Amino acid sequence: MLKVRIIPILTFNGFSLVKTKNFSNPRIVGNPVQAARVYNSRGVDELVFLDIFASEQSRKINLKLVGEVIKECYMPVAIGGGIKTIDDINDLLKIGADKIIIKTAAITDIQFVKQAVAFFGSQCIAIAVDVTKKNGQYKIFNKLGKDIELKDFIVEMEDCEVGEFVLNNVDRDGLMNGFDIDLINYFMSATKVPVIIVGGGGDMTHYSEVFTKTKAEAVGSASIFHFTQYTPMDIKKELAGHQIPVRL
Amino acid sequence: MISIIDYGMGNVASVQKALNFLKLESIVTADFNLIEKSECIILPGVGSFLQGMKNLKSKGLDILLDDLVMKKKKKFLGICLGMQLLAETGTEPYDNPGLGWIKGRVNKIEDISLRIPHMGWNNINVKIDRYFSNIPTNDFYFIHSYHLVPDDKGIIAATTDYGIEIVASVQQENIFATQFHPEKSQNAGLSLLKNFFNA
Amino acid sequence: MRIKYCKKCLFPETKPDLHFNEEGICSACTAAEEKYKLINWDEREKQFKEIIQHYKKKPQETGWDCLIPVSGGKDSTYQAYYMKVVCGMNPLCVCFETTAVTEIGQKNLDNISKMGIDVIHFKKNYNVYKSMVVEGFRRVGDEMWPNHIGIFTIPIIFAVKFNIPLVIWGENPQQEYGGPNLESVKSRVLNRRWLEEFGGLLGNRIQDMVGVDGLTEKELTPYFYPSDEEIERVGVTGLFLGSYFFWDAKKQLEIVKGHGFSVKADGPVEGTYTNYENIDEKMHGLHDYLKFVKYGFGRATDHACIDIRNKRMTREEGLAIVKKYDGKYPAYGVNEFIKYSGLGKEEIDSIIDSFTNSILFAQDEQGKFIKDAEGNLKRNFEIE
Repeated sequence: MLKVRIIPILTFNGFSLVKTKNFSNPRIVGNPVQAARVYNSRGVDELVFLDIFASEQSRKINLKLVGEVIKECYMPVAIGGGIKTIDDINDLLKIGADKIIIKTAAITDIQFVKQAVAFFGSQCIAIAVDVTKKNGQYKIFNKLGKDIELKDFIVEMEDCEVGEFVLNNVDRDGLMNGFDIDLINYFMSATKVPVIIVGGGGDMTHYSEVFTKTKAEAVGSASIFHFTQYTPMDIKKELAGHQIPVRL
Repeated sequence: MISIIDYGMGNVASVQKALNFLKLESIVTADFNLIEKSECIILPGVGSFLQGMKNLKSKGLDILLDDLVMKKKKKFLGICLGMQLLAETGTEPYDNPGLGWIKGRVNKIEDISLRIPHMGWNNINVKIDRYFSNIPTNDFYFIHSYHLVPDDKGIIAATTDYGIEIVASVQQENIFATQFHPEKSQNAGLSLLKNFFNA
Repeated sequence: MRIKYCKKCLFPETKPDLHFNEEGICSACTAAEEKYKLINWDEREKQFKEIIQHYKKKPQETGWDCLIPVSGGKDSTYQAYYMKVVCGMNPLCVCFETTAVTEIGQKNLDNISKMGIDVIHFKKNYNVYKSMVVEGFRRVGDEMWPNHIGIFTIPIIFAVKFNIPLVIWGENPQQEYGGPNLESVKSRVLNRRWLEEFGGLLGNRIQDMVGVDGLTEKELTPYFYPSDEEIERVGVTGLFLGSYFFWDAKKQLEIVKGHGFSVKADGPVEGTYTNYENIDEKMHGLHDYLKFVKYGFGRATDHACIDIRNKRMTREEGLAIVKKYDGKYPAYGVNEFIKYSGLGKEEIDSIIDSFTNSILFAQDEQGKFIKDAEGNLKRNFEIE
């Protein structure tokens, strides 16, 4: 039986790890290599590493630093940030990335997403879906001034045969006040590909809630691991107590 | 020396990293001489079956590997796409020939209520325990949308359950292959690699 | 590469948890402004006196009025002095010993009991602690890692066991060194959440040390924070003295010197220009250097910034001092660490290199850090 995944997320500003709230006010939380070593020692299910300012600052992800992070990891690693070309993906795969997460280019260049899937296979290409609620409707959060309905975006990406979604709830990012169960239920029924759910985890009850009240199979988190005593293993032990399949 | 075949299909760096961790000497290469001289061959890879075969053929690696593995019986490990390519026929995106070392087909995982790709940690049921003994856990990391269906069920070394029974590993004479990624499966994967290379 | 520095002090934008406002002023300077102008310290003092009155026992009762975690440094000596002499409390001081205590550190610790105060000196299991020192160094680049935990957990464990609800901490580090947001600077209490978020644990938790050299939960007992139920039962409340009184380390130093506190007589501590801070630990230079290789600033920056904020130094004077002292390879600290850990110098240096930021420091074509004969790195940035 497939186990649910608890995935630490490292967000990076090109220099340090940072943690945002509602996608703003990045707070420097440490050195990426040290975080990768901690998560490797914990044997976490997967690791997600995102350079969250690469696209905004029109720069490429720092391959040297990302390489140093991947070198520490004996678990699957997904990398994202400013990915626009097939070469960008190739460069990351060469240094050991397993999955590539595309965000901005998925909004601006759908042909690129198709091309990437054709080149590297569905399993390699994940799409970050940043969602915010406006006037009661789920929209794709973006700084390009585009008005995109969530449901349209999901259909478009599924047509490209992407292998995974990383669902970021912008409205809950960094707040540690629980997951948005309605959004997750909506999203999980709207797609047939795997989804990593991100945004809102702050204590144990949030995790047991998201796995019992929705069809979630993977959750990504950052704040809870930076700022509280809980580790991914603590969460998995809690989930095991609710008969949710985990890898202990 | 272990040769990790470099044919432009995905993440070879992690395979070598795992071998380094086990203090096993390896080289990522497409050089015929080096591959011939090595004691073991690893065919890694992720991505499309058709593209994988194209890449092997364009470098003449299909013929070399056939000679070394099938005729000269060199020890061989296939991982993920590197296991699927051993089949006679792939179906991605249409029927096309594989290396043909294992009789059978590679089909899309279909008609199940579960999500595709099959992605994450799944436990396996061991059928042939030659390399699977003394492994700390039996959860391994899978990431695939296609699966190998061999004609001869006797070569299935392990299976996993994902709505349907999926072949997780095969073993046929000098050939051992896994659908999951031992190099990404932490202690369980490292133990398996250790068992294989030390055997 | 160009690093942005605070316009008032010398803190760089690379410093964890530091926040800059639109004028380019860091949160530590903003908090210092408040300290000088906006906070009504008389009012705060009144609040503090009211709070401690609630915890003070009658002379005919047995027991301690409050618990003070001490290291034997100038700050904790001041806390002990303040609670005993100024507030007339009967404190119990609890010391979680540092990794390799200096002679002067030991002397200052012994001095606290001579100030008329009961002291518990917790002698920890040397082997368990050492395993964590080495693992903390390898894993998160901090050989003081188990100390960061022990100094918080041991006092709280004793507070629970001896039923002493009031725990008096010193400065609020977010106020003195800058915090990520206003709440953190204004926080007056220290609890479990504070420890995990701000205690310098670098994302590593005590349960992550289970299994290192075969360590078990049981052996790690002194490092586990008491349960929420125990904290609740005793009503443990940790207060920052620095939230109720104007914190001025140098003035306080002069006061504690009058009560038997000694400073380092033979020059400044490795990595900085002061002789009164971090004088209790032999390997402090290594600890501070690891911060420097990760973020590009060292202990001299911390000290100069405090002096600038407290108006004892101009920014220009501070800049000259930082350029002179910050980021020197800590030969003494490394040597002490070799003696303590049994690791070789080469291995220690390669672990330091693995945490060294390759954007901040120059590398050669092979990706090796360029160093001079003393082992000092070559900066890719200017302190300005």
